[in-house]
Amino acid sequence: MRLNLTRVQNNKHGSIRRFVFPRFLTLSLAAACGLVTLSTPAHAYIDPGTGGMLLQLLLGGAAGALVIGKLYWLRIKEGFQSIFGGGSESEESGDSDSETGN
Amino acid sequence: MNLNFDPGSFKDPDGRIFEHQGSIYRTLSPGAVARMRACLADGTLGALIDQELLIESTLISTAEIGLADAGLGETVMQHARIPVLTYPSEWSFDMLRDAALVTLDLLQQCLDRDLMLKDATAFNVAFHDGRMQFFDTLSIDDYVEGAPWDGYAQFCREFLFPLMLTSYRGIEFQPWLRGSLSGIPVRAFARLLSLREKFRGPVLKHVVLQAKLDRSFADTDTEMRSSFKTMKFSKPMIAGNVAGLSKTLRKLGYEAGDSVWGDYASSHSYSAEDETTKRQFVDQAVDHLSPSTIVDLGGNIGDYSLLVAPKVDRVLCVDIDPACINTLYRRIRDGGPGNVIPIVGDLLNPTPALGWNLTERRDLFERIRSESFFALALVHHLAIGGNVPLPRVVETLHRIAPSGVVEWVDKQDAMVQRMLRNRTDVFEDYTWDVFRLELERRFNIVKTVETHNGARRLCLLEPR
Ligand SMILES: C[S@@+](CC[C@H](N)C(=O)[O-])C[C@H]1O[C@@H](n2cnc3c(N)ncnc32)[C@H](O)[C@@H]1O
Repeated sequence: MRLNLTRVQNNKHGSIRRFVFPRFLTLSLAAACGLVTLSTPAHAYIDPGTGGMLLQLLLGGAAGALVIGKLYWLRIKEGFQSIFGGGSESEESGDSDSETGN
Repeated sequence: MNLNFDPGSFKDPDGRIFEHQGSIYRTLSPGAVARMRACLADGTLGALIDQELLIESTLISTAEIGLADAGLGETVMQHARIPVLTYPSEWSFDMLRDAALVTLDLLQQCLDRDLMLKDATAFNVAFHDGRMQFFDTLSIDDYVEGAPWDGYAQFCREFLFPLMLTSYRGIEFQPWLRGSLSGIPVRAFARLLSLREKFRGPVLKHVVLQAKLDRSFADTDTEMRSSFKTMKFSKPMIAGNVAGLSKTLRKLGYEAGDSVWGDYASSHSYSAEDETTKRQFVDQAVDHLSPSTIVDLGGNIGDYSLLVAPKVDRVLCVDIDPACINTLYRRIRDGGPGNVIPIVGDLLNPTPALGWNLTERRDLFERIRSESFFALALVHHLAIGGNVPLPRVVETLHRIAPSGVVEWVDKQDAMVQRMLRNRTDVFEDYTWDVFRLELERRFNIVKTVETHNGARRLCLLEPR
């Protein structure tokens, strides 16, 4: 995974130029929302998959839904802020989930 | 000492499968030894094995098996041997569903005991002794308070989505699982469903929403795992998801839509007399050859496999038609003999070697080679249906087993005539004389019997 909270899925029409909010600010913003911690807790033997993890949060009830809400809110906010920042290329990538385990 | 490690067992750093003096063992990391000791001591393993969810697994000291100096530590795990391993792409609908239910059931019981499953791949399950059984004992891990179920997405890709594909869309999942060992990715699967299907409750949740969240956030660096702790994610939440999945799976229907051969056994063109002759011939052939293993090629719903099962160690029944193999699986599961192994397989395109280094999963022929074969009313499918010249058909039969029973179906036969009805007959060499000569090059023809007024011939073949 690459760090870039402002990445936007566009892309039927190829990549478009995007303005990027300074990275350290993005990070601290995320940290403020309780989304990023420096110490990763338990190890996972396989990649649990982004969608797979977030869906479980969502099914976990109100608190989980709140986290998802925050994630989307962050994104909207950055969308706004990006208008005043620098530029970057963004491009759709394939499915993140393709590991096996045994 | 050179240990015979299973080339498919390398992903879990906690232990690898190896074979030693005919038995199956698993190496154990120090952490795994402690964990497995605890599971054995508190009766967890015993309970799971008794319920027929988990394959027999126990701990044994390396000294006892002469491996004290092999650098494996003091303790390894011993497993029951699975003589022929089949893969999810070779299972029928009910086999994959039962494998999914076994996985969920096991996970639930693990949670009850403060344990977890590390992963949820379909390759952790095997058809063994007439039922689907979990055999990756080392997947049992300690439950960590506040952690999510890491195997959930994998469970969806390898079990739930393929089963939904077949149940909702009427598309058999086997080619998809053969093509991708890690199953059907969530975003791809979401694109396969119609709008109407997307509004079904379980689809909305496990497919549409999961795909949406994945699409939105897979490409970010945001660490999400800690959110589970912050929001006090708990065991009952996992259990709720597991129970819901289990209910969803049980409700999925299987209609063998495009099965060509599903009711072959009840609709074929045999007279009662011809059928009796065939059954007797096959039965006596097995007495004569007395093989310990048989592979029944194009075995349909397994009538002949079941007939001879009591006389041999095991019978593999291979058929291209998933619906037929599903029927056979149900016959076995619901009280049939445990030594018949149902396999969905296309002889014109058998499962190749797959995975890492092409050794992780073995090709079908390597696994089904037996002492004898049955090829009953099959050769015309390969020679005329698949345009394979007769010499090559015989060569391949011989490669699979050195003896067996073959049923020749003449061009005059109604079934062959039907296969030819819309195409040019380019099969000049499809004659009994050519076939017999080819057989004689590789086998001894011990006996032949004509049926169908001479349109079919049963042949008993000994090694040459
Ligand atoms: C005429 S039936 C014979 C069934 C059974 N052996 C018997 O004698 O009663 C032919 C069977 O071969 C299977 N079959 C056809 N082509 C096949 C292939 N390429 N690979 C595996 N099985 C095949 C069909 O699905 C069908 O069940």
